[in-house]
Amino acid sequence: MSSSSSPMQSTGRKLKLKSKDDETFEVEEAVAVKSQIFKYMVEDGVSNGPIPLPNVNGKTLARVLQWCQKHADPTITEDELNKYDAGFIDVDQAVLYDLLMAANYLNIEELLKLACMRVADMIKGKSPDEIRRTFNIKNDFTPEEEEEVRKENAWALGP
Amino acid sequence: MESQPADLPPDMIFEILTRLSLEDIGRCRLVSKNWNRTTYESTFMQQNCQRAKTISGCFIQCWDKYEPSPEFVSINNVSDCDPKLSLRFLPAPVKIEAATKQGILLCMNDYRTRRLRIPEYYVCKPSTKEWHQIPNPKTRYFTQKMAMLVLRSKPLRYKIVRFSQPKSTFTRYKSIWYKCYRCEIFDSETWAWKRLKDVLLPDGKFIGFEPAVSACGVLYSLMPDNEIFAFYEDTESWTTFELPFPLCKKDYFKHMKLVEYRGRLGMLCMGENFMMQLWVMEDHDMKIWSKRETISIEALRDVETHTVPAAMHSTGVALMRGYSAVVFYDFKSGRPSINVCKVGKFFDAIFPFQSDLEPVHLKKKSFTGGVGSAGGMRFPFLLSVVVLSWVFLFICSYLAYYS
Repeated sequence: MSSSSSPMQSTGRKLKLKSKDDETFEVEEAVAVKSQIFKYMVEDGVSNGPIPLPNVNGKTLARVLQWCQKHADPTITEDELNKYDAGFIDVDQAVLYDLLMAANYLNIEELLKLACMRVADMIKGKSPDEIRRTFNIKNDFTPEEEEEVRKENAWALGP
Repeated sequence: MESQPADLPPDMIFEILTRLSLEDIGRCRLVSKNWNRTTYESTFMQQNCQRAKTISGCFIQCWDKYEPSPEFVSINNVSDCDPKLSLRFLPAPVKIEAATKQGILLCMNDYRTRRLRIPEYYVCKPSTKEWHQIPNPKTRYFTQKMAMLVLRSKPLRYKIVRFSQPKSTFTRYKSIWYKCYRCEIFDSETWAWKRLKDVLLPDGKFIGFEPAVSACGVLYSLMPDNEIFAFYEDTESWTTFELPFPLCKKDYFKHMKLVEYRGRLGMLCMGENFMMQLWVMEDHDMKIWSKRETISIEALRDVETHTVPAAMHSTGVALMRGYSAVVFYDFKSGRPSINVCKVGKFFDAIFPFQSDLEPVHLKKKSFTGGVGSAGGMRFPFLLSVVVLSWVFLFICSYLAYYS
Protein backbone atom coordinates (compact mmCIF):
# COMPACT_ATOMS: atom_id res chain seq x y z
CA MET A 1 0.00 0.00 0.00
CA SER A 2 1.15 3.57 -0.50
CA SER A 3 2.28 5.79 2.36
CA SER A 4 -0.44 7.45 4.40
CA SER A 5 1.21 10.82 4.83
CA SER A 6 1.58 12.23 1.34
CA PRO A 7 2.25 15.91 0.62
CA MET A 8 0.36 17.55 -2.25
CA GLN A 9 3.20 17.15 -4.74
CA SER A 10 3.42 13.35 -4.66
CA THR A 11 0.69 11.34 -6.34
CA GLY A 12 -1.06 9.83 -3.36
CA ARG A 13 -3.94 7.40 -3.76
CA LYS A 14 -7.14 8.73 -5.11
CA LEU A 15 -10.58 8.07 -3.70
CA LYS A 16 -13.56 7.56 -5.94
CA LEU A 17 -16.80 9.09 -4.74
CA LYS A 18 -20.27 8.72 -6.19
CA SER A 19 -22.96 11.30 -5.50
CA LYS A 20 -26.69 10.78 -5.04
CA ASP A 21 -27.30 11.49 -8.73
CA ASP A 22 -24.59 9.06 -9.88
CA GLU A 23 -21.89 11.62 -10.63
CA THR A 24 -18.44 10.24 -9.90
CA PHE A 25 -15.52 12.20 -8.59
CA GLU A 26 -11.91 11.33 -8.12
CA VAL A 27 -10.11 13.08 -5.32
CA GLU A 28 -6.66 12.80 -3.76
CA GLU A 29 -6.57 11.25 -0.30
CA ALA A 30 -4.86 14.33 1.12
CA VAL A 31 -7.88 16.40 0.06
CA ALA A 32 -10.56 13.88 0.98
CA VAL A 33 -9.33 13.47 4.55
CA LYS A 34 -10.66 16.94 5.33
CA SER A 35 -13.81 14.90 5.88
CA GLN A 36 -13.55 12.87 9.07
CA ILE A 37 -15.43 9.91 7.58
CA PHE A 38 -12.97 9.61 4.71
CA LYS A 39 -10.11 10.06 7.17
CA TYR A 40 -11.25 6.95 9.07
CA MET A 41 -11.81 5.06 5.83
CA VAL A 42 -8.28 5.86 4.66
CA GLU A 43 -6.80 4.84 8.00
CA ASP A 44 -8.75 1.60 8.05
CA GLY A 45 -8.00 0.79 4.40
CA VAL A 46 -10.60 1.49 1.73
CA SER A 47 -12.07 -0.62 -1.06
CA ASN A 48 -11.38 0.08 -4.71
CA GLY A 49 -14.94 0.75 -5.72
CA PRO A 50 -16.50 4.25 -5.64
CA ILE A 51 -17.82 5.27 -2.22
CA PRO A 52 -21.56 5.94 -2.49
CA LEU A 53 -22.77 9.18 -0.91
CA PRO A 54 -26.56 9.00 -1.16
CA ASN A 55 -27.05 12.16 0.90
CA VAL A 56 -25.12 14.54 -1.34
CA ASN A 57 -25.91 15.60 -4.89
CA GLY A 58 -23.25 16.09 -7.57
CA LYS A 59 -23.31 19.88 -7.65
CA THR A 60 -22.86 20.15 -3.87
CA LEU A 61 -20.19 17.46 -3.77
CA ALA A 62 -18.24 19.29 -6.47
CA ARG A 63 -18.37 22.50 -4.44
CA VAL A 64 -17.38 20.71 -1.22
CA LEU A 65 -14.43 19.01 -2.91
CA GLN A 66 -13.34 22.34 -4.36
CA TRP A 67 -13.34 23.76 -0.81
CA CYS A 68 -11.39 20.76 0.51
CA GLN A 69 -8.86 21.16 -2.29
CA LYS A 70 -8.26 24.79 -1.39
CA HIS A 71 -7.98 24.03 2.31
CA ALA A 72 -5.59 21.11 1.74
CA ASP A 73 -3.20 23.35 -0.20
CA PRO A 74 -0.15 23.98 2.05
CA THR A 75 1.02 26.98 -0.02
CA ILE A 76 -2.06 29.10 0.59
CA THR A 77 -1.88 31.80 3.29
CA GLU A 78 -4.45 32.32 6.04
CA ASP A 79 -5.53 35.66 4.57
CA GLU A 80 -6.08 34.12 1.15
CA LEU A 81 -8.02 31.29 2.76
CA ASN A 82 -10.28 33.70 4.66
CA LYS A 83 -10.93 35.66 1.48
CA TYR A 84 -11.70 32.47 -0.38
CA ASP A 85 -14.08 31.29 2.36
CA ALA A 86 -15.95 34.63 2.34
CA GLY A 87 -16.53 34.31 -1.41
CA PHE A 88 -17.27 30.60 -1.23
CA ILE A 89 -20.04 30.90 1.33
CA ASP A 90 -21.72 33.88 -0.30
CA VAL A 91 -24.31 31.76 -2.04
CA ASP A 92 -28.08 31.61 -2.14
CA GLN A 93 -29.99 29.91 0.59
CA ALA A 94 -30.73 26.63 -1.17
CA VAL A 95 -27.03 26.09 -1.98
CA LEU A 96 -26.09 27.13 1.55
CA TYR A 97 -28.46 24.55 3.03
CA ASP A 98 -27.04 21.86 0.77
CA LEU A 99 -23.50 22.78 1.83
CA LEU A 100 -24.54 22.72 5.47
CA MET A 101 -26.13 19.30 5.22
CA ALA A 102 -23.20 17.92 3.21
CA ALA A 103 -20.61 19.29 5.66
CA ASN A 104 -22.57 17.69 8.51
CA TYR A 105 -22.95 14.36 6.73
CA LEU A 106 -19.32 14.23 5.66
CA ASN A 107 -18.19 15.55 9.05
CA ILE A 108 -16.09 18.45 7.75
CA GLU A 109 -15.85 20.57 10.89
CA GLU A 110 -14.41 23.76 9.40
CA LEU A 111 -16.89 23.86 6.52
CA LEU A 112 -19.75 23.17 8.92
CA LYS A 113 -18.62 26.04 11.11
CA LEU A 114 -18.33 28.34 8.08
CA ALA A 115 -21.81 27.45 6.84
CA CYS A 116 -23.38 27.75 10.32
CA MET A 117 -21.79 31.17 10.84
CA ARG A 118 -23.19 32.30 7.50
CA VAL A 119 -26.71 31.17 8.41
CA ALA A 120 -26.29 32.81 11.84
CA ASP A 121 -25.29 36.06 10.07
CA MET A 122 -28.48 35.82 8.04
CA ILE A 123 -30.50 35.58 11.28
CA LYS A 124 -28.75 38.41 13.17
CA GLY A 125 -30.86 41.47 13.75
CA LYS A 126 -33.95 40.08 12.04
CA SER A 127 -37.37 40.01 13.64
CA PRO A 128 -39.05 36.61 14.13
CA ASP A 129 -41.32 37.31 11.13
CA GLU A 130 -38.38 38.17 8.91
CA ILE A 131 -36.53 35.04 10.05
CA ARG A 132 -39.56 32.90 9.21
CA ARG A 133 -39.84 34.49 5.77
CA THR A 134 -36.12 34.11 5.06
CA PHE A 135 -36.07 30.44 5.95
CA ASN A 136 -39.64 29.55 5.05
CA ILE A 137 -40.49 28.31 8.52
CA LYS A 138 -44.05 27.75 9.62
CA ASN A 139 -45.19 29.49 12.78
CA ASP A 140 -46.65 26.60 14.78
CA PHE A 141 -47.45 28.56 17.95
CA THR A 142 -51.10 29.13 18.81
CA PRO A 143 -51.89 32.84 19.29
CA GLU A 144 -51.96 32.32 23.08
CA GLU A 145 -48.64 30.47 23.10
CA GLU A 146 -47.08 33.11 20.88
CA GLU A 147 -48.27 35.86 23.21
CA GLU A 148 -46.64 34.15 26.20
CA VAL A 149 -43.33 33.60 24.40
CA ARG A 150 -43.48 37.20 23.19
CA LYS A 151 -43.94 38.49 26.75
CA GLU A 152 -41.00 36.46 27.98
CA ASN A 153 -38.72 37.67 25.19
CA ALA A 154 -40.13 41.16 24.73
CA TRP A 155 -36.82 42.65 25.85
CA ALA A 156 -35.14 41.26 22.73
CA LEU A 157 -37.73 42.51 20.27
CA GLY A 158 -36.55 46.11 20.07
CA PRO A 159 -38.51 49.36 20.34
CA MET B 1 -35.29 25.63 -8.63
CA GLU B 2 -37.56 28.14 -6.93
CA SER B 3 -38.67 25.64 -4.24
CA GLN B 4 -37.81 26.73 -0.71
CA PRO B 5 -35.70 24.37 1.42
CA ALA B 6 -37.40 22.50 4.25
CA ASP B 7 -36.59 23.35 7.85
CA LEU B 8 -33.22 22.13 9.06
CA PRO B 9 -32.85 19.09 11.35
CA PRO B 10 -32.65 19.84 15.12
CA ASP B 11 -28.90 19.29 15.45
CA MET B 12 -28.25 21.81 12.65
CA ILE B 13 -30.55 24.34 14.28
CA PHE B 14 -28.57 23.80 17.50
CA GLU B 15 -25.26 24.38 15.67
CA ILE B 16 -26.55 27.64 14.21
CA LEU B 17 -28.44 29.12 17.17
CA THR B 18 -25.56 28.54 19.60
CA ARG B 19 -23.56 31.05 17.56
CA LEU B 20 -26.02 33.90 18.14
CA SER B 21 -26.13 36.70 20.73
CA LEU B 22 -28.56 36.48 23.66
CA GLU B 23 -30.79 39.02 21.94
CA ASP B 24 -30.93 37.13 18.66
CA ILE B 25 -31.66 33.95 20.64
CA GLY B 26 -34.55 35.75 22.34
CA ARG B 27 -36.01 36.57 18.92
CA CYS B 28 -35.41 33.06 17.60
CA ARG B 29 -37.53 31.69 20.43
CA LEU B 30 -40.55 33.19 18.67
CA VAL B 31 -39.80 31.64 15.27
CA SER B 32 -41.18 28.15 15.91
CA LYS B 33 -41.68 25.60 18.68
CA ASN B 34 -38.68 23.64 17.40
CA TRP B 35 -36.37 26.65 17.55
CA ASN B 36 -37.77 27.58 20.96
CA ARG B 37 -37.15 24.09 22.35
CA THR B 38 -33.59 24.03 20.96
CA THR B 39 -32.58 27.19 22.83
CA TYR B 40 -33.50 25.58 26.15
CA GLU B 41 -31.60 22.32 25.66
CA SER B 42 -29.29 21.36 28.49
CA THR B 43 -25.99 22.07 26.69
CA PHE B 44 -27.23 25.05 24.67
CA MET B 45 -26.00 27.81 27.00
CA GLN B 46 -22.66 26.08 27.54
CA GLN B 47 -22.04 26.00 23.78
CA ASN B 48 -23.35 29.53 23.36
CA CYS B 49 -20.95 30.75 26.04
CA GLN B 50 -18.01 29.27 24.17
CA ARG B 51 -19.08 30.24 20.65
CA ALA B 52 -20.69 33.64 21.15
CA LYS B 53 -18.81 34.75 24.26
CA THR B 54 -21.89 34.99 26.44
CA ILE B 55 -21.87 34.38 30.16
CA SER B 56 -24.16 31.97 31.98
CA GLY B 57 -24.24 30.77 35.56
CA CYS B 58 -25.32 32.21 38.89
CA PHE B 59 -24.37 34.89 41.39
CA ILE B 60 -24.13 33.71 44.98
CA GLN B 61 -24.71 36.15 47.83
CA CYS B 62 -21.82 35.22 50.14
CA TRP B 63 -21.01 36.82 53.46
CA ASP B 64 -17.51 37.33 54.82
CA LYS B 65 -17.88 38.02 58.55
CA TYR B 66 -21.08 40.12 58.10
CA GLU B 67 -19.71 41.90 55.03
CA PRO B 68 -21.44 41.01 51.75
CA SER B 69 -19.13 39.45 49.18
CA PRO B 70 -21.01 38.15 46.13
CA GLU B 71 -19.35 35.60 43.85
CA PHE B 72 -20.13 34.35 40.35
CA VAL B 73 -20.06 30.71 39.24
CA SER B 74 -19.94 30.07 35.50
CA ILE B 75 -21.61 27.03 33.93
CA ASN B 76 -18.38 26.45 32.00
CA ASN B 77 -16.13 26.36 35.01
CA VAL B 78 -18.19 25.28 37.95
CA SER B 79 -15.36 24.24 40.24
CA ASP B 80 -14.19 27.80 40.95
CA CYS B 81 -15.83 31.16 41.47
CA ASP B 82 -15.08 33.34 38.47
CA PRO B 83 -13.00 36.35 39.48
CA LYS B 84 -13.61 38.10 36.14
CA LEU B 85 -17.19 38.76 37.18
CA SER B 86 -16.47 40.10 40.64
CA LEU B 87 -18.36 43.19 41.81
CA ARG B 88 -15.27 44.85 43.27
CA PHE B 89 -15.48 47.62 40.65
CA LEU B 90 -18.40 49.04 42.66
CA PRO B 91 -17.58 51.72 45.24
CA ALA B 92 -18.38 49.55 48.27
CA PRO B 93 -19.22 45.97 49.23
CA VAL B 94 -22.74 45.28 48.00
CA LYS B 95 -25.62 42.94 48.58
CA ILE B 96 -27.35 41.77 45.41
CA GLU B 97 -31.06 42.60 45.45
CA ALA B 98 -32.00 41.32 41.99
CA ALA B 99 -30.42 39.86 38.87
CA THR B 100 -31.73 39.61 35.31
CA LYS B 101 -31.01 37.31 32.39
CA GLN B 102 -29.96 40.36 30.38
CA GLY B 103 -26.83 40.85 32.46
CA ILE B 104 -28.01 43.67 34.74
CA LEU B 105 -27.80 43.52 38.56
CA LEU B 106 -29.41 45.64 41.23
CA CYS B 107 -27.18 45.99 44.29
CA MET B 108 -27.37 47.74 47.61
CA ASN B 109 -24.42 49.30 49.38
CA ASP B 110 -24.75 47.62 52.73
CA TYR B 111 -25.59 50.55 54.97
CA ARG B 112 -24.13 48.92 58.05
CA THR B 113 -20.76 50.07 56.80
CA ARG B 114 -21.89 53.62 56.25
CA ARG B 115 -21.98 56.26 58.95
CA LEU B 116 -25.19 57.87 57.72
CA ARG B 117 -26.98 54.50 57.68
CA ILE B 118 -28.71 55.40 54.44
CA PRO B 119 -28.30 52.72 51.79
CA GLU B 120 -27.23 53.42 48.23
CA TYR B 121 -28.57 51.45 45.29
CA TYR B 122 -26.59 50.70 42.17
CA VAL B 123 -27.51 49.13 38.86
CA CYS B 124 -24.57 47.54 37.13
CA LYS B 125 -23.49 45.28 34.30
CA PRO B 126 -20.69 43.14 35.76
CA SER B 127 -19.42 41.89 32.39
CA THR B 128 -18.54 45.43 31.26
CA LYS B 129 -18.01 46.90 34.76
CA GLU B 130 -20.53 49.65 34.02
CA TRP B 131 -22.49 50.92 37.01
CA HIS B 132 -24.70 53.77 38.06
CA GLN B 133 -26.26 54.86 41.30
CA ILE B 134 -30.03 55.28 41.13
CA PRO B 135 -32.06 57.75 43.20
CA ASN B 136 -33.10 56.33 46.54
CA PRO B 137 -36.63 55.15 47.22
CA LYS B 138 -38.19 56.03 50.60
CA THR B 139 -35.46 54.37 52.63
CA ARG B 140 -36.99 55.16 56.01
CA TYR B 141 -39.27 52.20 55.27
CA PHE B 142 -37.64 48.82 55.67
CA THR B 143 -37.23 46.95 52.38
CA GLN B 144 -39.07 43.64 52.27
CA LYS B 145 -38.27 42.74 48.71
CA MET B 146 -36.91 44.21 45.50
CA ALA B 147 -37.14 42.85 41.98
CA MET B 148 -36.05 43.99 38.55
CA LEU B 149 -37.22 43.46 34.97
CA VAL B 150 -35.47 44.41 31.76
CA LEU B 151 -38.16 45.57 29.34
CA ARG B 152 -35.93 46.25 26.38
CA SER B 153 -32.24 45.82 25.66
CA LYS B 154 -31.74 48.30 22.79
CA PRO B 155 -32.01 50.95 24.02
CA LEU B 156 -31.89 49.61 27.57
CA ARG B 157 -34.99 50.09 29.67
CA TYR B 158 -35.59 48.45 33.03
CA LYS B 159 -37.92 48.74 35.97
CA ILE B 160 -37.34 48.04 39.64
CA VAL B 161 -40.15 47.20 42.04
CA ARG B 162 -39.76 47.67 45.76
CA PHE B 163 -42.00 46.43 48.55
CA SER B 164 -41.34 48.00 51.92
CA GLN B 165 -42.86 47.94 55.37
CA PRO B 166 -44.67 51.20 56.14
CA LYS B 167 -44.93 52.69 59.63
CA SER B 168 -48.18 50.89 60.35
CA THR B 169 -47.72 47.38 59.05
CA PHE B 170 -51.38 46.52 59.46
CA THR B 171 -54.44 48.32 58.29
CA ARG B 172 -58.10 47.69 58.84
CA TYR B 173 -60.65 47.86 56.05
CA LYS B 174 -64.31 46.89 56.48
CA SER B 175 -63.48 45.19 59.81
CA ILE B 176 -60.81 42.98 58.26
CA TRP B 177 -57.14 43.36 59.13
CA TYR B 178 -54.66 43.44 56.27
CA LYS B 179 -50.90 43.33 56.17
CA CYS B 180 -49.77 46.41 54.34
CA TYR B 181 -46.78 46.86 51.99
CA ARG B 182 -45.70 50.10 50.38
CA CYS B 183 -45.12 49.54 46.69
CA GLU B 184 -42.83 51.73 44.55
CA ILE B 185 -41.61 51.34 41.01
CA PHE B 186 -38.48 52.82 39.43
CA ASP B 187 -38.37 53.34 35.68
CA SER B 188 -35.02 53.90 33.99
CA GLU B 189 -36.89 55.92 31.35
CA THR B 190 -37.97 58.60 33.84
CA TRP B 191 -35.10 57.97 36.26
CA ALA B 192 -37.48 58.31 39.16
CA TRP B 193 -39.46 56.29 41.66
CA LYS B 194 -43.23 56.34 41.57
CA ARG B 195 -45.48 55.21 44.37
CA LEU B 196 -48.11 52.64 43.48
CA LYS B 197 -51.13 51.55 45.47
CA ASP B 198 -50.25 49.69 48.65
CA VAL B 199 -50.34 45.93 48.60
CA LEU B 200 -52.86 44.63 51.13
CA LEU B 201 -52.66 40.98 52.05
CA PRO B 202 -55.07 39.28 54.46
CA ASP B 203 -53.62 39.03 57.93
CA GLY B 204 -51.36 36.02 58.26
CA LYS B 205 -50.09 36.19 54.69
CA PHE B 206 -46.92 37.91 53.57
CA ILE B 207 -44.68 38.20 50.54
CA GLY B 208 -41.83 35.67 50.77
CA PHE B 209 -38.20 36.69 51.26
CA GLU B 210 -36.62 34.68 48.43
CA PRO B 211 -35.64 36.60 45.27
CA ALA B 212 -38.61 37.00 42.92
CA VAL B 213 -38.81 34.86 39.79
CA SER B 214 -39.55 36.58 36.51
CA ALA B 215 -41.50 34.85 33.72
CA CYS B 216 -43.49 36.36 30.84
CA GLY B 217 -43.13 39.90 32.18
CA VAL B 218 -44.53 38.97 35.61
CA LEU B 219 -42.66 38.86 38.92
CA TYR B 220 -43.64 35.90 41.09
CA SER B 221 -43.01 35.14 44.74
CA LEU B 222 -43.96 32.10 46.79
CA MET B 223 -45.86 33.06 49.92
CA PRO B 224 -45.40 31.02 53.09
CA ASP B 225 -48.91 29.55 52.89
CA ASN B 226 -48.13 28.17 49.40
CA GLU B 227 -49.98 30.81 47.46
CA ILE B 228 -48.31 32.83 44.73
CA PHE B 229 -47.89 36.59 44.76
CA ALA B 230 -47.70 38.01 41.22
CA PHE B 231 -46.78 41.55 40.15
CA TYR B 232 -47.65 42.52 36.57
CA GLU B 233 -45.27 45.10 35.13
CA ASP B 234 -47.53 46.13 32.24
CA THR B 235 -50.49 47.08 34.40
CA GLU B 236 -48.42 47.83 37.52
CA SER B 237 -50.88 45.74 39.51
CA TRP B 238 -50.64 42.65 41.67
CA THR B 239 -52.63 39.60 42.58
CA THR B 240 -52.37 36.39 44.58
CA PHE B 241 -53.52 32.99 43.44
CA GLU B 242 -53.69 29.48 44.80
CA LEU B 243 -51.69 26.51 43.65
CA PRO B 244 -53.34 23.22 42.71
CA PHE B 245 -53.06 20.08 44.80
CA PRO B 246 -50.53 18.86 45.92
CA LEU B 247 -48.55 22.10 45.56
CA CYS B 248 -51.00 23.96 47.78
CA LYS B 249 -50.67 21.56 50.68
CA LYS B 250 -48.21 22.79 53.28
CA ASP B 251 -45.71 20.11 54.34
CA TYR B 252 -46.61 17.80 51.44
CA PHE B 253 -43.12 18.49 50.10
CA LYS B 254 -40.04 19.03 52.26
CA HIS B 255 -38.92 21.99 50.22
CA MET B 256 -40.45 24.04 47.40
CA LYS B 257 -38.73 26.59 45.18
CA LEU B 258 -40.23 28.79 42.47
CA VAL B 259 -38.12 28.69 39.31
CA GLU B 260 -38.17 29.97 35.77
CA TYR B 261 -38.34 27.08 33.29
CA ARG B 262 -38.15 27.70 29.55
CA GLY B 263 -39.73 31.09 29.93
CA ARG B 264 -42.54 29.87 32.16
CA LEU B 265 -43.14 29.77 35.89
CA GLY B 266 -42.14 26.46 37.47
CA MET B 267 -41.74 24.89 40.87
CA LEU B 268 -39.10 22.45 42.05
CA CYS B 269 -40.52 20.34 44.87
CA MET B 270 -38.34 18.11 46.97
CA GLY B 271 -40.11 15.18 48.56
CA GLU B 272 -39.17 12.08 50.51
CA ASN B 273 -36.81 9.35 49.33
CA PHE B 274 -34.51 11.70 47.43
CA MET B 275 -37.11 12.49 44.80
CA MET B 276 -37.76 15.89 43.30
CA GLN B 277 -40.59 16.97 41.02
CA LEU B 278 -40.67 19.78 38.46
CA TRP B 279 -44.06 21.37 37.99
CA VAL B 280 -44.71 24.01 35.32
CA MET B 281 -47.56 26.51 34.97
CA GLU B 282 -48.64 25.59 31.44
CA ASP B 283 -51.44 28.08 31.15
CA HIS B 284 -50.72 31.61 32.24
CA ASP B 285 -54.34 32.78 32.39
CA MET B 286 -56.08 29.66 33.69
CA LYS B 287 -53.18 28.93 36.11
CA ILE B 288 -53.04 25.27 35.06
CA TRP B 289 -50.01 23.39 36.30
CA SER B 290 -48.60 20.05 35.18
CA LYS B 291 -45.89 17.78 36.54
CA ARG B 292 -43.14 17.73 33.92
CA GLU B 293 -40.38 15.73 35.57
CA THR B 294 -39.72 13.35 38.42
CA ILE B 295 -36.05 13.55 39.29
CA SER B 296 -34.00 11.29 41.52
CA ILE B 297 -31.45 13.21 43.58
CA GLU B 298 -29.97 10.14 45.23
CA ALA B 299 -26.71 10.75 43.36
CA LEU B 300 -26.31 14.04 45.23
CA ARG B 301 -26.29 12.35 48.63
CA ASP B 302 -22.59 11.56 48.51
CA VAL B 303 -21.62 14.86 46.94
CA GLU B 304 -23.14 17.50 49.20
CA THR B 305 -25.23 17.13 52.31
CA HIS B 306 -28.75 18.48 52.49
CA THR B 307 -29.10 19.86 48.99
CA VAL B 308 -32.23 21.80 48.17
CA PRO B 309 -33.32 23.16 44.79
CA ALA B 310 -32.27 26.71 43.87
CA ALA B 311 -33.19 27.09 40.17
CA MET B 312 -33.51 25.32 36.82
CA HIS B 313 -30.43 26.15 34.78
CA SER B 314 -31.82 24.59 31.60
CA THR B 315 -33.85 21.57 30.48
CA GLY B 316 -32.30 18.73 32.38
CA VAL B 317 -29.96 20.76 34.59
CA ALA B 318 -31.05 21.74 38.07
CA LEU B 319 -29.10 24.18 40.21
CA MET B 320 -29.00 22.83 43.75
CA ARG B 321 -27.54 24.28 46.93
CA GLY B 322 -26.09 22.67 49.99
CA TYR B 323 -24.49 24.02 53.15
CA SER B 324 -21.16 24.73 51.54
CA ALA B 325 -21.60 24.22 47.82
CA VAL B 326 -23.60 25.03 44.75
CA VAL B 327 -24.26 22.09 42.43
CA PHE B 328 -25.20 21.97 38.75
CA TYR B 329 -26.98 18.65 38.47
CA ASP B 330 -27.55 17.26 34.98
CA PHE B 331 -30.26 14.72 35.61
CA LYS B 332 -31.22 14.11 31.98
CA SER B 333 -28.02 12.50 30.72
CA GLY B 334 -27.80 8.72 31.08
CA ARG B 335 -25.48 8.91 34.03
CA PRO B 336 -26.29 12.04 36.01
CA SER B 337 -23.35 14.42 35.88
CA ILE B 338 -22.68 16.64 38.83
CA ASN B 339 -20.60 19.81 38.86
CA VAL B 340 -19.87 21.19 42.27
CA CYS B 341 -18.61 24.58 43.33
CA LYS B 342 -17.39 24.58 46.90
CA VAL B 343 -18.14 28.00 48.33
CA GLY B 344 -15.77 28.90 51.13
CA LYS B 345 -18.06 31.36 52.87
CA PHE B 346 -21.58 31.41 54.23
CA PHE B 347 -24.09 32.19 51.50
CA ASP B 348 -27.81 32.75 51.24
CA ALA B 349 -29.53 33.92 48.04
CA ILE B 350 -28.64 32.52 44.61
CA PHE B 351 -29.41 34.48 41.44
CA PRO B 352 -29.40 32.74 38.01
CA PHE B 353 -27.58 35.05 35.60
CA GLN B 354 -26.86 35.46 31.89
CA SER B 355 -25.04 38.24 30.13
CA ASP B 356 -23.32 39.33 26.95
CA LEU B 357 -20.27 41.60 26.73
CA GLU B 358 -21.98 44.58 25.05
CA PRO B 359 -21.77 47.96 26.76
CA VAL B 360 -25.13 49.49 27.66
CA HIS B 361 -26.39 52.86 28.85
CA LEU B 362 -27.63 52.22 32.35
CA LYS B 363 -28.81 55.81 32.52
CA LYS B 364 -30.32 57.52 29.47
CA LYS B 365 -27.93 59.99 27.83
CA SER B 366 -30.53 62.75 28.06
CA PHE B 367 -30.18 62.75 31.84
CA THR B 368 -27.08 64.53 33.27
CA GLY B 369 -24.21 62.52 34.63
CA GLY B 370 -23.86 59.75 32.04
CA VAL B 371 -22.39 56.36 32.84
CA GLY B 372 -20.02 55.73 35.65
CA SER B 373 -19.90 57.29 39.06
CA ALA B 374 -22.09 58.64 41.77
CA GLY B 375 -20.08 61.92 41.82
CA GLY B 376 -22.97 63.70 40.16
CA MET B 377 -25.19 63.00 43.15
CA ARG B 378 -22.87 64.41 45.81
CA PHE B 379 -21.59 67.55 44.11
CA PRO B 380 -24.76 69.70 44.29
CA PHE B 381 -25.18 68.67 47.93
CA LEU B 382 -21.63 69.71 48.83
CA LEU B 383 -21.98 72.95 46.91
CA SER B 384 -25.15 73.90 48.77
CA VAL B 385 -23.48 73.05 52.12
CA VAL B 386 -20.55 75.34 51.28
CA VAL B 387 -22.82 78.17 50.13
CA LEU B 388 -25.03 77.89 53.20
CA SER B 389 -22.01 77.88 55.53
CA TRP B 390 -20.70 81.07 53.96
CA VAL B 391 -24.11 82.70 54.25
CA PHE B 392 -24.30 81.64 57.91
CA LEU B 393 -20.82 82.99 58.66
CA PHE B 394 -21.67 86.24 56.91
CA ILE B 395 -24.86 86.67 58.96
CA CYS B 396 -23.01 85.86 62.21
CA SER B 397 -20.24 88.35 61.52
CA TYR B 398 -22.82 91.01 60.52
CA LEU B 399 -24.73 90.51 63.76
CA ALA B 400 -21.53 90.49 65.79
CA TYR B 401 -20.40 93.74 64.19
CA TYR B 402 -23.65 95.57 64.76
CA SER B 403 -24.48 94.27 68.29
